[in-house]
Amino acid sequence: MSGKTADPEWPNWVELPRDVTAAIFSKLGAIDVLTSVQYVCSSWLKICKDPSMWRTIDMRNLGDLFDMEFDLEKICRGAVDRSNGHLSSINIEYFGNDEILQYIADRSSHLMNLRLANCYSISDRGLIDSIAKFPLLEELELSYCSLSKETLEAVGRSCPLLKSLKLNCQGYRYPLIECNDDALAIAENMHELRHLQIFGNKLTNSGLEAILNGCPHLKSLDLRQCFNINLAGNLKKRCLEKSKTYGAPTILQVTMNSMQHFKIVMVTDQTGMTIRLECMILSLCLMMTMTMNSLTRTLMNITKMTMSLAMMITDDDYEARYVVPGLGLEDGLVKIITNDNVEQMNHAVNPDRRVDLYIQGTRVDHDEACPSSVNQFENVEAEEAEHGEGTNYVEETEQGDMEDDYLMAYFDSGSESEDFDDDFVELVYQQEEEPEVVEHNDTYVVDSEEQNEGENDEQENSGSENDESQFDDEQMTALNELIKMDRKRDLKKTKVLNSNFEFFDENSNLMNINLRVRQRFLQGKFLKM
Amino acid sequence: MSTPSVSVNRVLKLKSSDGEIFEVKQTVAVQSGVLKQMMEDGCTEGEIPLNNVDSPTLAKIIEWCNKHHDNDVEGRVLSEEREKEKEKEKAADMKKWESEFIDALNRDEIYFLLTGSNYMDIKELLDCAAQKVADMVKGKTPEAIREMFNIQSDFTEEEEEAIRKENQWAFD
Repeated sequence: MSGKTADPEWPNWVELPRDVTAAIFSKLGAIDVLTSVQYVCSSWLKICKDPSMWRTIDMRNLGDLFDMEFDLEKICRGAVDRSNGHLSSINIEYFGNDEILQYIADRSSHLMNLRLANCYSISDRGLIDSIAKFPLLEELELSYCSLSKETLEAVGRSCPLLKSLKLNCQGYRYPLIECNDDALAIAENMHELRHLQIFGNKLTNSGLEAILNGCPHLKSLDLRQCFNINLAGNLKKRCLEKSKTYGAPTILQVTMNSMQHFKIVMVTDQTGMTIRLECMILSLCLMMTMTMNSLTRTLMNITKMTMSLAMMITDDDYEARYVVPGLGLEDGLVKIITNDNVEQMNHAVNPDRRVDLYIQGTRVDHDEACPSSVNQFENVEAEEAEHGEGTNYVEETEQGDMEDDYLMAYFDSGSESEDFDDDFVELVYQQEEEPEVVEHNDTYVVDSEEQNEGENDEQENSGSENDESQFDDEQMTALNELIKMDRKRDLKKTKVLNSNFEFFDENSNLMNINLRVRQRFLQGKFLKM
Repeated sequence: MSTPSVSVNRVLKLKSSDGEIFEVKQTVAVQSGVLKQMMEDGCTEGEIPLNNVDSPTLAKIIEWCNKHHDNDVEGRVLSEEREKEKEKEKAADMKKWESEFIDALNRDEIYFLLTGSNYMDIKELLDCAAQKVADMVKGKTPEAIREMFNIQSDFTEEEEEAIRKENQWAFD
């Protein structure tokens, strides 16, 4: 305590309006307020004793329980006492246990939001007993708590209003364990869910299907590190149907046998009714066998997508025919690698296969960023990296084991000058009957594919290298269709630069990618490379 | 709900407690709940006295509001997709600007910014300043906090004793 008199010229912090002081305190966690701030002076103590200060109790901590000076349980009890039965939201991460949970349950029947992340010492019994006293609960986080199926069922029964559940755990690929207990418990008991996050869950397709059935209002579903999901065929269709019927999101359509890395971010639009998948990262999904079309048909709002080393993703002949009637694609096999990340890209290119590397650059200046050499390529990456932050999607990149040298070799052999733009236009002019279409479309394609005789090139042999030297009328029409569609979508400029790279307009969406893919495929025939 | 008749070019004249006049565009001034209300009520003719806000603080507050306004306006011109992308970027830029803005202030200035933004009802600014104070306080002992804000303990000896008893958050 200082004995000196306050300088009258100084602002008197104690006389801050009460609301302002309360606003400051509310930005501190409960721990700081109870152990220190409230003891500063009597008026602060008074504010800190007001139950309205304690509707939300955030016991956030770093989980360093053994180094902690204070007993978080005691503090938590103190905070709950002060809430005087009006508690609506509490976070007791790390230190939560059965006793403290029971303490809260006995005093807080209005609780709507409960966060129990990393509460290893909460038992199934303890949670079941306590959760029954939170009938109004809407948001619950149980991540990293290892609870049984019965507990989840009890949660569902006890909290009929539950709208958001986070049940994350660390995902492991091996040993292979398939378990739909969580999924079924959720599906059968939590029908009102809007948001579900289950990182690393062991659920399989049938589990996911059950969830889709059981939770008709689901708006977002986060399945990162759910390695057992293998969406295809029927289930995929059901996802689509579901999204139509309920206005719910199209969840995803992927096959991920050896999925390395998977992230989906879903965002509601302004009405909060529909969901738009905006970001999809399927990097290193080596065995993913879905088709581009199945993706693009449903993900119209996608703004970012990476598919590094997802070499089994194909263009789909049926779908292609649907979009472009009369297009005689027999087997439009186009392998795709998409990326916007330097590291990933380094690892993504394998010269043993002729893989087409697609780079969707949201902010790349096409003219400056043409990766016609390794150096320029690096510039692109720098730019990408610079703006990558702004996209707000965190990429957790896992690297494959491929060697960087491959990249160098590959790019060296494939380097081209920018003159190819003109070359291509010329080529088009020679063979295209309506050159102005191309002109207006502002599309330049440089196609200098090298034939690849790699032994691993099995996908390549299945039809994309047809020996047709010219488009027949049918194909010509189809190509024009494609181009028209592109124009409808306001494509400003798109480039296809030799066979290795594709840059997209900053406004491009996945449909553009898809069209581009097909168009490039067509060009491959067209130019008879 | 009536929308205030806000026109881009019209300005409000704000008079600080020490008599200085500041001109603020109406479109900027709507960020203040108080000024917005006055505009809705149509009583913004002449000088608006802000008796609780001195001129350095008012200058800061207006700087803040102008910055946030510019940000909003720029965002609207762009196409939808561009806008989304821009907005994310803007949000990051704005955060950076805000933290630089607030970090440049000393404690007294923050105090007056708190009272000023509270008085003028500018929630975002109040939040930002409150967060800054919270960051300053975090992890400090009561003594250190008193020292920092020049607060004197006004507890009686009995209260001190009671506090000591109550203040047993440590492990037994």
